[in-house]
Amino acid sequence: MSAPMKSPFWKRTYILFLAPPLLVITIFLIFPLFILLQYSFRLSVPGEGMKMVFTLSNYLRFFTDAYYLNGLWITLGTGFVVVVITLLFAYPVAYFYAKTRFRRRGILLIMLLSPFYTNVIIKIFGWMVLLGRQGIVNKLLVSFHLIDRPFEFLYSYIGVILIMVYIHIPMMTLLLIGSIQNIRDSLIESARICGSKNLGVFRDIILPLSIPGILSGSIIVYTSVIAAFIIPLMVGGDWGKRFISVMMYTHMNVTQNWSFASAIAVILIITSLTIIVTSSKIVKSMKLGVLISEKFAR
Amino acid sequence: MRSSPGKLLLVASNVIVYAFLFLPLLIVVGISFSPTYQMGFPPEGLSLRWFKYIFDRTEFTDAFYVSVIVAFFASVFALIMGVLCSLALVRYKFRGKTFIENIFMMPIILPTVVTGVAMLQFFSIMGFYNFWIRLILGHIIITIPYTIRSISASLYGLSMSYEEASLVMGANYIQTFKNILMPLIKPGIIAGSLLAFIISFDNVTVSLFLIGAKTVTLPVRIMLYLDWQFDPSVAAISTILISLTVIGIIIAERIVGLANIMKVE
Repeated sequence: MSAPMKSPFWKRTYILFLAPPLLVITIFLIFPLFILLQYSFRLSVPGEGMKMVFTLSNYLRFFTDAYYLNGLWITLGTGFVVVVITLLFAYPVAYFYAKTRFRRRGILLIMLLSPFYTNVIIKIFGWMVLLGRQGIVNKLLVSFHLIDRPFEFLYSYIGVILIMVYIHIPMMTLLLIGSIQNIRDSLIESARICGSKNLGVFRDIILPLSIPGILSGSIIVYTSVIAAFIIPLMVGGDWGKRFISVMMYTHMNVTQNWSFASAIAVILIITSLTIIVTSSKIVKSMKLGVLISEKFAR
Repeated sequence: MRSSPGKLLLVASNVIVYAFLFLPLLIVVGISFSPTYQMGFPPEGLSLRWFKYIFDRTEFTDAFYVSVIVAFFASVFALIMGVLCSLALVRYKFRGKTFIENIFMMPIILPTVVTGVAMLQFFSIMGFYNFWIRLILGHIIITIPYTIRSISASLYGLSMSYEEASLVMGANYIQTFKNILMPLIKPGIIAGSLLAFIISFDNVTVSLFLIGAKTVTLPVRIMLYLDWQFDPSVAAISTILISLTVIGIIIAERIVGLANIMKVE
């Protein structure tokens, strides 16, 4: 794939092409983000609106009040838990798709994409039906005498984790498939010829070589989870209110404290950008590692 | 392949995960045929009363039209922006190109909820209260990266000699674009606009901040409905949407092959 250098078009026409989309994104996204940043240093006074002073009090409030700070930790921790569980579910599915000689892979892809492209509200609704007090899960658990009375899955930590894992499994699987497919069969075969058993092949060849895919999948799912908004809002209950994006929403729409909401938004942006930048650096160095190991394998 | 304990474990875990993925969807479809208010499964009988209910009451059908209109305009504009942007980014070399590429990928990288809040504040300050345009603009912003990606991908794969030949033969730029470039990048254009339409239609987070009383999109309408009521009417509308999704995916698989779209082998 070679990017062409010379253009048959007039040298500077790219400005004409670029101007309209750049204008749209500048006016309606970049400029609003600057306003948001600016607001985060202002002071919202209930009933009086926003005071045009420069203050760090919104940030100080966030980082000194244990309630908000804990919210940040809860959000980041939940991201970690969800990523790990999602990975455990998604890896075998991705591996099966990528590496077995299953004939009807088209059907598998349809089965992965159908829940992936189903609207998130519908998926949450499905789980509300399943996990409710009168839901099937509770009925089964009670009838098998595993619990005495219906457990409140919804509006609890377990429910949110479960639904988040559910929603991210197809995404994680699709991200893993590519990297597992890139592992050369010849590597696996040579390990077998050299006498490695199934578990050994998996542990020494397949797993190390799928680490770049695992990492990039984990980053994408992690950033999606820490910015998650609809799930904690709908089924999070009191616990969901501690989620950073929900706290921002509350201050935006309920208490109308726009400057504090803006400060939370800025903190959310900085957190997820930091995670994306640092971890993609790690992934890049990991990819180098894979190239080296491939060289050795040859 | 030979069957071994490891292989058996792999197949078993796959069966479990696929069942897990389909469980809530099947339940939703199941209870949409419930004859009563009961949300239990299996339903006590079969009826279409909830399907009749959602068409009798206009709130879901109205919201459906809003979603379609918004998704249509958003994807058309995102497509135009995507074509222009991809032409500049793929066909030209200029300073600060990576920076500009990153700017256009921002809506993907930014938490969607932040995009929603920022745009809400902006529109409020500007006193801009046309909710249709608010909503469509919000959706254009979040779908632009996807049209750029798919159109750029097909432009990258296309040799410039076609355009050069056309220009050498005396066609002007507009003719070249219309007759040569457009047909050749058609797969990218179709994929990009479909993706934009789906993303816009499915969006909840940005919509939630930008809707007005008369421009409630379908997913937001369902969400608001669930705040107050919990009956099989939501299951009925969900069943229609799930069917549309699955049919769309199967058609995409038959026509172009999903593996090509999803960039997996």
